[in-house]
Amino acid sequence: MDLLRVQGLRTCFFDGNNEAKAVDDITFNLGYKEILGLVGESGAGKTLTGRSVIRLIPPTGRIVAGKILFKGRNLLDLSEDEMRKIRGKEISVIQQDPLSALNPSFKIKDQMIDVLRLHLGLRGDEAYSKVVQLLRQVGISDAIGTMNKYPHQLSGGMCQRVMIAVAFSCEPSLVIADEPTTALDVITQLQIIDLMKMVQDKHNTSIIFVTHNMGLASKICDRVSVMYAGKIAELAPVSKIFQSPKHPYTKALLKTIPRYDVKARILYSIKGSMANPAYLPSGCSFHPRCEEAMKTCYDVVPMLTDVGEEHFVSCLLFPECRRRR
Amino acid sequence: MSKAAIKLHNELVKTIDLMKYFEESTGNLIDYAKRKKRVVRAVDGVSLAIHQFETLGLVGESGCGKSTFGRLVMRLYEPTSGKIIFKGTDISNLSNAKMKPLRKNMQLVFQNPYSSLNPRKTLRQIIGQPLKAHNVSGNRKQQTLQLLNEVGLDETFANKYPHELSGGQRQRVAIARSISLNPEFVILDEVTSALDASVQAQILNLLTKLQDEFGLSYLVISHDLSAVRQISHRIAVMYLGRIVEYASADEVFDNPLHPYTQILMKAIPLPDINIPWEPTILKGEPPSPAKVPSGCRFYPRCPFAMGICKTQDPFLMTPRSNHIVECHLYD
Repeated sequence: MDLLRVQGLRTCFFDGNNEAKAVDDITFNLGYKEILGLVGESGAGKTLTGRSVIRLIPPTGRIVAGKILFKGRNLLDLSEDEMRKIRGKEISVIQQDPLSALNPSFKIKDQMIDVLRLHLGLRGDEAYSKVVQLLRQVGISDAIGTMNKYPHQLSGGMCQRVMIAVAFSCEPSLVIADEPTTALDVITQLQIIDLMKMVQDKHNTSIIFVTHNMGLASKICDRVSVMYAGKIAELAPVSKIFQSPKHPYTKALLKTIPRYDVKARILYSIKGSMANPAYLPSGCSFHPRCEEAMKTCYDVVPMLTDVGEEHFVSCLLFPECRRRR
Repeated sequence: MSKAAIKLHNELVKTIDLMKYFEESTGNLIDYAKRKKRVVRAVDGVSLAIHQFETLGLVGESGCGKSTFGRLVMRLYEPTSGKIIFKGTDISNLSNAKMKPLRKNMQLVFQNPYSSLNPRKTLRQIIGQPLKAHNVSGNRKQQTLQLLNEVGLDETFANKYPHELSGGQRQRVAIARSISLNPEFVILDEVTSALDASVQAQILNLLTKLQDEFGLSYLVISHDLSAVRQISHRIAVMYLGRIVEYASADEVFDNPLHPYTQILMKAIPLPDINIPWEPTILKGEPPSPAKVPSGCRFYPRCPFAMGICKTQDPFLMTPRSNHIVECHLYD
């Protein structure tokens, strides 16, 4: 039994008669205590997939199809009130920019107590001591000093620790980490990742880890899903993605990463840019940029199919992907 | 470019013991009444040289003073002490009027292309602005179109506004503007940090191309060692306002000597699951430049710290030829 099953999820944005499929027919599952990486370039729909799971999408967008089964319940059938009880308690989010995720006009402790009061019903001294305990848990030694500060008085790394403390405060079963370390430098990134792994280990949390840092994904994820133009291009255990990538996009993505241990005079880059979800190319969305594109790619849409041993690919180079479901 | 060739080139920019101390309020009312201020030692004695046609990479954590150093070299901040030599002349005390003709020769590209381009101006106006400010003669329209071409954007972009562009395209525009006056020296402050890997590769390739074409010298400021490696000839590692290691790029990456450089490098996860990731996790925050530790600045976080590190400032050592390091391990 999986913790989360997302089936045929489709999130669209509407502008007049124009429809932009920002998340287009996404299906994946997430086991208990699993870390699933969502990787891809900006605009691939990684963040929106994560946000669709907790139904926090911008007002111009709408989830038009699919099922999000969380512990067997379809989150799309719940009312907004029921959803609020799940957000922050059973599913929580860590945002990319901690400074904008925290409210600048309240002290850290007030923002943390809010969450504890709403979901755990803690008040007064009880809530206060829980805040201290949570902050200590995320490696903030001066917990009392920190909780009395405002977000602008803390560094980016410190704010992100606070966000992690908040995210894990109600011991959620699922955390959606949306580029939690992108705004931080490597040393702080390391501290934050180490911390997340430690807290995850303690509470047996599952994590959806949204990132464009392939290096990081290779080190901490159990499975990786490569996204392109709102669709999953490839989904496989981490070792397969990095050792035997099958989708041309995954291969290209891996080639573009500059590595400090290799010096290249001219760096590889994928030609063109990410497809605009409002004007998707015909057939496979990746074909205008693909180095292995064939004639059929211009008009047949590939299906995400298992090509063996839990390795899902959506590319017409694999005959299995041509079949209609 | 071969190493021998680099040596032949002259020093274009040189700083000697450059310092910048900022004074800030302590936030305490009594200190305020007593006019007592806190001194932030952002750049604390940096001596570096950037040679002609060469790229110097300046790396370090956020808050180590790299950007302040870049701005000091441009004289956007007044140095507290020390000298900046640009093409043989000391520019550290020049007046603004005397600086202006020199500024043509040195340009700065900023990290965030969303805030560095004026949203109300077309690309032609943005790129033409430096030409206008310095009264460059010639057909301005022709010049801006040519600049757009140089950075890989076609003529249709000339009348567009920044909001119509992607992050990578904006950064190309910022680069086009920076080379519009044919400078010899360009400072690139985290130019690729906000971009995707694929776009980052395109921008880095563009920078290499422009360097070959126009004979530019770059100072690349970044915390991303992987990107810096690709375009730098030499690397300087900065920690809390000081340069702790300085050598050719290959030398720094193949034989990192300073413990901080080693930790910085090991912290980067390589996209290869056959290479194990065993980083050293530094505890705590980097110490603040307002409260610099005595002795070696790195000793409170250094895994190899010895007794001497706490009390004595390390000197610059050259344990290997052309490889400078500031650490007691190599005394």
